[in-house]
Amino acid sequence: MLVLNGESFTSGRSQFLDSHPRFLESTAKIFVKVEFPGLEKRFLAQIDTGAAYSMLEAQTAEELDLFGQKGHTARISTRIGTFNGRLVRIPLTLVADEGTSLDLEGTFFVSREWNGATFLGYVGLLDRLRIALDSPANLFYFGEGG
Amino acid sequence: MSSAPKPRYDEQDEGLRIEEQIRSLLAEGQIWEAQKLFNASGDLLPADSTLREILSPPRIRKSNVRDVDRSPEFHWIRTCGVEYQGKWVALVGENLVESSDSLKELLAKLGQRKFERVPLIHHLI
Repeated sequence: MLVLNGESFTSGRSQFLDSHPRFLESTAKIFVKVEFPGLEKRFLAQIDTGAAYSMLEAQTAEELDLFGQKGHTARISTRIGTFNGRLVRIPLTLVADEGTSLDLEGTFFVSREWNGATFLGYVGLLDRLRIALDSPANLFYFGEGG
Repeated sequence: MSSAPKPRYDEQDEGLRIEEQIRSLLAEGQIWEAQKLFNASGDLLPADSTLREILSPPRIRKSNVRDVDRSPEFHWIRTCGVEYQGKWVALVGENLVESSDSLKELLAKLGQRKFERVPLIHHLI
């Protein structure tokens, strides 16, 4: 994996998807592979360093039975509108093709109103990880922050 | 002349006040501000406040889970995804194994079926 000043910088690597079927060219969207305990399938989640919080797509939240859990009422403004929901703590795995995957437990915004993608946001998740992109090769490097 | 004794509950009151302030900020959508106030509050928040859990840093540990090369699945999304706009799809290699309007139905369709690799699920929105 990546090494900085002789020390390990990241521990895992995975391919990412930067295409959207509606557009022929590559987009600025970066989808990485994740797994949610209990669903045991691979899902794609979008990296969004501009997002205040990570957000979970409503149907995925429903399958994980998150709407029945306690959480703090919160509201999030996005470019497509404002959504009411709750902040809940959930586990997920950032899955590596090579090297070591990471089990994470972070705070996500969940709302029955949110039918957009699942986002891995900056605050409370990415801000504690080391991440790097090899864009020409569509490779996403990640590791635990120092 | 001695100064007036400081009430013992000062810090407790302050903690409750900050907790209420953070809750209000979250409810108003001011998440950055709520997080900043939480970070600055130190030990003032009540020990049993659930905000401590919600706003604390993520827990991270290494995992043995490993995935395979998903180039075939990504190729399918790039080339065929447009025909399934709005659908949930389950892909194994270049094969679409199931599709549905809902994740619940998709997972039910997949059931206990066995595949040579774990299906990749994506919502084509």
